[in-house]
Amino acid sequence: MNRIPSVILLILISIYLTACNSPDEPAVAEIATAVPATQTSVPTMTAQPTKTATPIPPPATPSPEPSVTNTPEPGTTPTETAVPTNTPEPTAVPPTGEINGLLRPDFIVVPENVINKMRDTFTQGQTLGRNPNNFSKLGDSVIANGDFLTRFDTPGQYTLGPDYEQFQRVIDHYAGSYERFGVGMKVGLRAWGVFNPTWADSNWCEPNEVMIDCEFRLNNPSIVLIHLGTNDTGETFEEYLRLTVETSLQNGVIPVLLTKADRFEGEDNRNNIAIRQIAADFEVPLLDYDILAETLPDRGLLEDGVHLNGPNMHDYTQDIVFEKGHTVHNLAVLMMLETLLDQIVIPQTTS
Amino acid sequence: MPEAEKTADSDKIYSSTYITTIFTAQKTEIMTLQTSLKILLLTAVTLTAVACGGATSDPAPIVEQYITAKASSDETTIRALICSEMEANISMEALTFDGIEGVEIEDMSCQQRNGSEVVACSGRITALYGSEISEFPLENYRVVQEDGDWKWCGEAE
Repeated sequence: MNRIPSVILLILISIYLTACNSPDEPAVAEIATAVPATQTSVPTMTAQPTKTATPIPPPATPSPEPSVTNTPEPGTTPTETAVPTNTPEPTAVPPTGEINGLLRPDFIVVPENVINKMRDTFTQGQTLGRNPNNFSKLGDSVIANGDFLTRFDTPGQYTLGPDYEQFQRVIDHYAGSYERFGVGMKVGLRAWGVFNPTWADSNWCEPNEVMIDCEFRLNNPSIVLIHLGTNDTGETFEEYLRLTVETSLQNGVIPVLLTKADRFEGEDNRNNIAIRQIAADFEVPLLDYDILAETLPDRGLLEDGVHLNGPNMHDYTQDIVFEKGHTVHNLAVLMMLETLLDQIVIPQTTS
Repeated sequence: MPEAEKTADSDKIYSSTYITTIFTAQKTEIMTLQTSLKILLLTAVTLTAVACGGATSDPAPIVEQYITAKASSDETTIRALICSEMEANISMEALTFDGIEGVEIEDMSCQQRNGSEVVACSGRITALYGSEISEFPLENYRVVQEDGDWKWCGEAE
């Protein structure tokens, strides 16, 4: 009689052990075994890349992490209309607009229809409180490094010389934006990463917030420089670059598309072709650096064929800077910013 | 057996005191058995509920499983573990590390936060780009129950 409880207990434990295995438990083990973390499989619903993109970053150009001096201050939401503090007087398009024999319109593609549309976008941005003195950077390791524009925020680290001294007012107007790293850049960034919360910096961005929204919230820019496509080898590139442009326009931020010097997605240069097409379709500014790269030895690239080469000094009185990737790239960006300043920002803020 | 002894035994056997004693002992034993059964059943039910029921199971392994699937672009598993609210994001979630070489999960450890719908994870996903490593720290994640199963449902505070 006294053994009955023990027998029942044993039966119940047996039933419990045999019948109560959660269906999830073996699944965990199964999947963990079948799909190790180190394995990279190709999802069935996405286009298969024709080539696995693994650009090698340049050893000489470290990718700075956000720091006290070059990270955005949180909480700068666009709640009030900012007034430019050092807006220069309107000037005519400067005569100097040539790099390595190419004229400004060859690589700074901002025709009349683009100017008109971007004036509307800029005005919309001003009503949203966008800061006309701020620009943001959005892109991959080609610009996510200490050589992209950063020196223009540190007097003594660049020399414009007589041919380009006019750009000092551009440097002054956007002071602080050149060295700012922000949250819109990440090594290895693909176009889809702009809209994937995992790629956003969790130290600065809200849960589930995507990179582009986070960057706009923190920096409140009126312009965003977009360099994408180096790591994108699939068909999703065009879809998400278009979405990036749309998102910028909807937020009253002028998107500036930059073509790239590399051919990492393939010799057919399809990503640059897509960038040009998207710029034309949306009537947004295009900095066609790909054309400038043709004037440079080795296309201004390091041996990895992806990242820009260049001297650390940005002395535009020296011939060597016109043979290197970073220095020509940065000068071209100044030219683009000057065009936007003179054709869009100043007319719209003084009218 | 002598008659006297028979009578004595008979008295012993059929005396009310003796009968009562036996009855009480049997009753006590039956009650003990019933109590034991009740306790056993209660214990079994509780154990079953804890171990098998979704309501009180641990969602942390589900989150770890989801992170593993995400790191390996395993869309099938992502689809199985994502909450209905996030279904529109399945393709984007599967793209997160698509085509990226050298993706690894390091030191992953997830725990449910005080029985809430938040699972806090530590560790990181790393991806290799040439000689440079890009890090994606693991964070806090929201979980919800659907049909008794825990589902991953985005990032949480």
